[in-house]
Amino acid sequence: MLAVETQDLGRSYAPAGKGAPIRALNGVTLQVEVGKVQRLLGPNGAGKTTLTKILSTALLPSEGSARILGHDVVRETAKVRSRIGVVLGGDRGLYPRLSARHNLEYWAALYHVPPEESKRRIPALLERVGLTEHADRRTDSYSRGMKQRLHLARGLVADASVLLLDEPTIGMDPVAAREFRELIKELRRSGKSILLTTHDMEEAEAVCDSVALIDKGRLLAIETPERLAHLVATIERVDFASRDASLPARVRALEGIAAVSTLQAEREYRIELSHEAALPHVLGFLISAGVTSIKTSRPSLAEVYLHVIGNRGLKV
Amino acid sequence: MTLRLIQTARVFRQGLRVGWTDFWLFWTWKSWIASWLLRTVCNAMVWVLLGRLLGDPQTVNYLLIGNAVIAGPSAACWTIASSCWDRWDGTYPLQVIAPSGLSASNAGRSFVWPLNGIVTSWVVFAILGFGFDLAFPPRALLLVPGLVVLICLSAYGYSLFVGGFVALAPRLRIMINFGTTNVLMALTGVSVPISFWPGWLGALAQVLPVTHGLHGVRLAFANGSLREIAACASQEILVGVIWTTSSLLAVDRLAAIGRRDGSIDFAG
Repeated sequence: MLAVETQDLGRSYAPAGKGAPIRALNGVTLQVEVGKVQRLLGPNGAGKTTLTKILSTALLPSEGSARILGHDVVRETAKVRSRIGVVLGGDRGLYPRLSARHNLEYWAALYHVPPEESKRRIPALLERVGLTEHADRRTDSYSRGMKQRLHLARGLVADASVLLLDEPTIGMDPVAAREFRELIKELRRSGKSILLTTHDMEEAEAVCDSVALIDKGRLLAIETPERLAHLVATIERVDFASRDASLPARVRALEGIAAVSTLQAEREYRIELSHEAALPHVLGFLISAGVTSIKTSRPSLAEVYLHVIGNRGLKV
Repeated sequence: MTLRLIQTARVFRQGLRVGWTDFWLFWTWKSWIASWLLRTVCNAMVWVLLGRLLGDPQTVNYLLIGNAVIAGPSAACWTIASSCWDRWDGTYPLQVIAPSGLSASNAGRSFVWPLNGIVTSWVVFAILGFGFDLAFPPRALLLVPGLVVLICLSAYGYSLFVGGFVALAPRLRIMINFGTTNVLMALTGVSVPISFWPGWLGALAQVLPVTHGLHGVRLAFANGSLREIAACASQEILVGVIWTTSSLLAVDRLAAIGRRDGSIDFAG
């Protein structure tokens, strides 16, 4: 059985004025195995939240189907709801005048967690997300990162089998985000299935089994982080430093060179190879030119992301 | 079934805690007395003074009783406006997708308003009754507090039902809140006898909260028979049960409309 399964899933919205319906999601077929972490990566307006909303039963699909642990999100809504935990990004979705403890007690009641179990689980969750010392403070005095950690605790309060995390690290400081990644690893070890959307590339590479790239409502690729990197990095790249300002132009003239760009540091350059066979020749050329600082590397997921989605700036 | 009831009661209690906390964010005892209660008393007093201007003690009593009672349901009607608060907090979509659904938590969060209404109405009765020499026969002293509770609870059930719709159109909340209150004030025999209205409006008044309970209160002041007063109380309970049941059935179905049209926004 799959934790999450969608088949040709689509969702259209009627536009505010006249015009054709807006397709927020288009023919998305996705599978997340039980116990795996699937990351959904895409720019703003790509359809990530729409997919999360359909899977969490907050939105009906226009076409196709979606299942959580074998239960259809449209026809078996109640069964789906009792099997999912949802974490939203941002600092909303909490009762700001209540303490963290009271917020969790509230949501535990809504998820029918037995009172005795709540008494045991809530302090453990507060400890797990590092909020024990602030548990009895009103949450409107919390920082955004603290609220986000409370959101995570709220999503875990039902001990659901499938977790849908929509931009869960928004507002977290780097230390908290690293702890969050550790928590995701821990949840995966405990058998939870997780669908996670985020813009944090480091997070994706650190904590997921596979990455789905989504844009304009369509899935572009589903791969492991390593294999996804191969989409553009079948060829390695070479970074080098040289005081010789003419060297980049001479490198550019060599066979097998796709591009030579300047890195942020002065007199540091990056060579993109158009085929792997060019590597020995390029390395030999650089050494013979007196270059002593050479590094070969593979692109990060962030670079893959930009390559596949396209660098469109702030446009959505 | 029993487990389901226990779970629902627990959700209701948790919702009430949210509402109670919100309530005391707005008010302290002092500000509640100095602003809310004072305004409500003045509002009722204007009508009573109008009655005195007409020079008819019966009219004075009629207006005093009607306006002291309506102070309670008017407060309970704030349930309508507060039905949108979960939208503002961004908790609405999370309630919708929770296994318990929306109705019990929403009802719990709003329950502070009928409680406020009950206390308000009792105090207004006491102040105006003392100020305008309203005679409290033993029957009224015994029965009116209970009838006020019934009236406020039935108005609360009615407001929950209307609030379910308002949650879909939050921008209209204040207009609908006051509109609903005004309908109750106009049609249920508060200041104007129901017989004044055309038949169809009179018929509408029969299914609104306040109408039967208020009639029972008037009977209690007029030393009416216990049987008649009990009949009024029963009718008020019936109206309240119908509206409350309708709201319980409607709220989650109305949320389903949002699921269909995409208006349940994770951003709030």
